[in-house]
Amino acid sequence: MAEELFIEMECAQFTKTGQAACGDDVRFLTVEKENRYIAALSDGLGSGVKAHVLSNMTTTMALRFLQSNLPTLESVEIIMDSLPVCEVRKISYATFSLFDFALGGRAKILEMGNPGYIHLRGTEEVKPASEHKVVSAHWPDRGVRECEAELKAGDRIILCSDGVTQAGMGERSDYKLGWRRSGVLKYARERISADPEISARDLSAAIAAESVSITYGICRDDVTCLVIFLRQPRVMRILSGPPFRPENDAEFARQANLGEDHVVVCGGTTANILERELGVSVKISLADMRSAGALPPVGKMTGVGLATEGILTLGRVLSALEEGRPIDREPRAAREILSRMMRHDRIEFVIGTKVNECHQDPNIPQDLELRRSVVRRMASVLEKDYRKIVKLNFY
Amino acid sequence: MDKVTVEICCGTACYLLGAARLMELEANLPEELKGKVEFEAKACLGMCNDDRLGG
Repeated sequence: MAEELFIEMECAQFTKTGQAACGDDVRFLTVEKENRYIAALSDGLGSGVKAHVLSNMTTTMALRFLQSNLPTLESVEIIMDSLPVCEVRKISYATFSLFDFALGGRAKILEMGNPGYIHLRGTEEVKPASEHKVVSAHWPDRGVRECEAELKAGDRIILCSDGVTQAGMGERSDYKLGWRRSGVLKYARERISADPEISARDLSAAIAAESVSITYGICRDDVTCLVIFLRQPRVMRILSGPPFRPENDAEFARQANLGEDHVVVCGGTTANILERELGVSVKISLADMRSAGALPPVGKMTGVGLATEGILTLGRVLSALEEGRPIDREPRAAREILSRMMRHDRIEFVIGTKVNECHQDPNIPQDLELRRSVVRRMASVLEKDYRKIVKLNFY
Repeated sequence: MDKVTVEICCGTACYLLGAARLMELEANLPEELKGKVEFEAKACLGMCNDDRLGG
């Protein structure tokens, strides 16, 4: 049961209007050997580049210290002692919220100066299992709240910077004290009751966007919302390439049985194999042709999934992932695959390894990479930078 | 006269060797052919590996 659980950690962020750099920082770390998931959110004093440096230093140190199990007091002292002191305010400052969870155990949450975390089971708020203050002799006025939370499948943890909870403060008479933690809690509950399966990605985006809408789209402070969601993994499959041995075509085609929203077939020959084996057909409408952009058009296999061209499309998806390019500006085929990847937790590649000889034709004006190597690189970037579980199956 | 259906291959090799331009045909059809031709996109027509077609 425990190993079936997926810990989705996602954040949404807006930079204070007019600033070049975001003064909040979020970092994630998965320690696979220990089945451990760590997240750090820090809000640097002020805004802009200086705040950016403070918060980045804080999250970087925090991840290292948590991972190496340094005692809380010592970690916190090192962080506070090493931040540069602000010339104007004569304090060194970056608030933080840290989340540390090993599957099967309790989650530890450390907070200094940030709005208190929210723990939701469905729409019910869950109180911490234990709570106490840790105070450093160097910084007596800056206590750290250390909580333990009992996490179950389906639970969510929400962490925010004060840009979220203070939205509207001093600006709107109906938000005299800002949106507040209670406002975030109420809004999160509404979203969850409207969509009980809402992903961490969508919920964090909704909360951040709602807080910015309170101030009419102008960010008075950096806004960051981080959501952690323990759920059954959402699985998608990408089938690409003809099997090396044609006698495996039938078994290969049977892998496309996850439902239309969870399957992508990349490659013309691959689509032909599925058409033959499953008795379906690819439909590419004229509208699909017109909206294709810089890649071949996207088709649909009714009852099976999406159908795209193969190696050019996969190559484009890979480069977008590696460079972190915004999804919505990609050509349609890459955009459709990328947005599906972001909506799923576990991505299974079912790859036929037969090489299409005509791809080696010297008349083709572009180098075509081997499918297998593109997919391997994609797997590694999805695991490392996007925290996905990736499985590779070769046929 | 019946409409003529033109199938355009969207496979990798065809796309790179000119099919990408063929997709624009529909929008650039000469007046006298308008209404007489239909376009359909296909996943792969198998021509890239047909020796008779120089594949």
